[in-house]
Amino acid sequence: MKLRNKILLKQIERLAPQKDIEEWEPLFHAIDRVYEQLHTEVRLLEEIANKMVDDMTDANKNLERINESLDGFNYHVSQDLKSRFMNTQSLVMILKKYINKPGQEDKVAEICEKLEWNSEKAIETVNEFLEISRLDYEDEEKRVEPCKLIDCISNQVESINGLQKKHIKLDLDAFDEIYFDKTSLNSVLRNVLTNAIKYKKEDREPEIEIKTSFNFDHPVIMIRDHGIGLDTEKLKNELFKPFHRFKNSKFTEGNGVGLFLIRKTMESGGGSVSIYGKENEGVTLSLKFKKDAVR
Amino acid sequence: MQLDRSKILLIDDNEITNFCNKDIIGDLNIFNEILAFTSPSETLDYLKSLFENKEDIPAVFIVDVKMPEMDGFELIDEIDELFEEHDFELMPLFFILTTSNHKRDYEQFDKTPQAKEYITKPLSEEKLKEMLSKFSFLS
Repeated sequence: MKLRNKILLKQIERLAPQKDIEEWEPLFHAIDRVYEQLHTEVRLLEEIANKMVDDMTDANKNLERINESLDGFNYHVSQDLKSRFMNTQSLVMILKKYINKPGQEDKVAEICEKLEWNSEKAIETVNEFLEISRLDYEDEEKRVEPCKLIDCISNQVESINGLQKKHIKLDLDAFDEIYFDKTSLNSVLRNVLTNAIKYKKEDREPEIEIKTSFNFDHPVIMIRDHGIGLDTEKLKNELFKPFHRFKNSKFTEGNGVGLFLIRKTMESGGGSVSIYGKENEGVTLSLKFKKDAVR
Repeated sequence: MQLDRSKILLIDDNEITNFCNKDIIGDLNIFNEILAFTSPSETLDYLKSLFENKEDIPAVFIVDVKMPEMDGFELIDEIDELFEEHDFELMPLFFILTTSNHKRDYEQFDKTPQAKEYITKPLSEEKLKEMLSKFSFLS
């Protein structure tokens, strides 16, 4: 007996006991086929439904991700730029007052310096926000390529104000090359090292240690500064959110997007970042990469 | 200890804002001493030192809202507490100076009776004069 549907078989036997069951055989086959077909179709529908749910979840996650930075994004950008431009306005107003007065040359020079600094900051702001938008909107193909750590770090030393080679202690014994999108890696290193300079101890030279290691086969780059530090336990829920600033720094002011950008960039390359620090004891950032990032 | 009506204190995390405001306030020739701090903690440290040395407290504070560490309203609360600790019963004038016209900030302002005026940036001589004349700083 080939009919798989035992309940159906029982029914037929009950309704037609006197007939030879063999004669039903073709019908059984037909029913079996229909049954099988239905079963396949149900499975297919189920698959489609699951796929749709997955897609929706992904879409939601994507939206959440965009919202995370859009939440207050416009507000922060406009507030920040507004205050920069207002400062420009005020500085020019003051400049006009002093510019043709004898004996005010120093004052004029000071104001010009501040104007310059102010516009540098405005450009920095725009660049940071452009970087965030790029992360969110352009699903651009990441070009994974081997990056020599020593070269990337040297690039940063050249471009970051106040950072010198002697400030960095390198230990690249575990690995000295990582497969990652070069632009992304440079962006992460720039943000990490800029933070280390911004939040250095006031009367001390910056002291930064960079060490490579493996954590359960994942390559990790650890960057430790010996700056003013911050209590990461207390702030852990806030640290990687955008537009949060935790410390005042004598040396520079920020927009509160540094750590956020580091996190986003690492995540976009399949990695992650964690932070550990205490007041007055500096901060250690661990950049964790995909297992195949070291080949 | 008294309130010193010849002293004004500015708190804004942006150093350039402080620089400009100092200049604008200086032109008014009302205050002999214009102090500026870029962080709430510096401000609190300064006030503590005044209590230690039994020096008078500035009569006017111009406070920014958005700062790291704590916002301007929280700073006013902290200053309030500090005054209470030292049994200092006089209250300086707090002016809020901000770029924001966010509803949330207005609500905070309404909840902070020590804050007397809400000024939107940029600070100008006219705005300042208007505020100060309300509290008879201009003769």
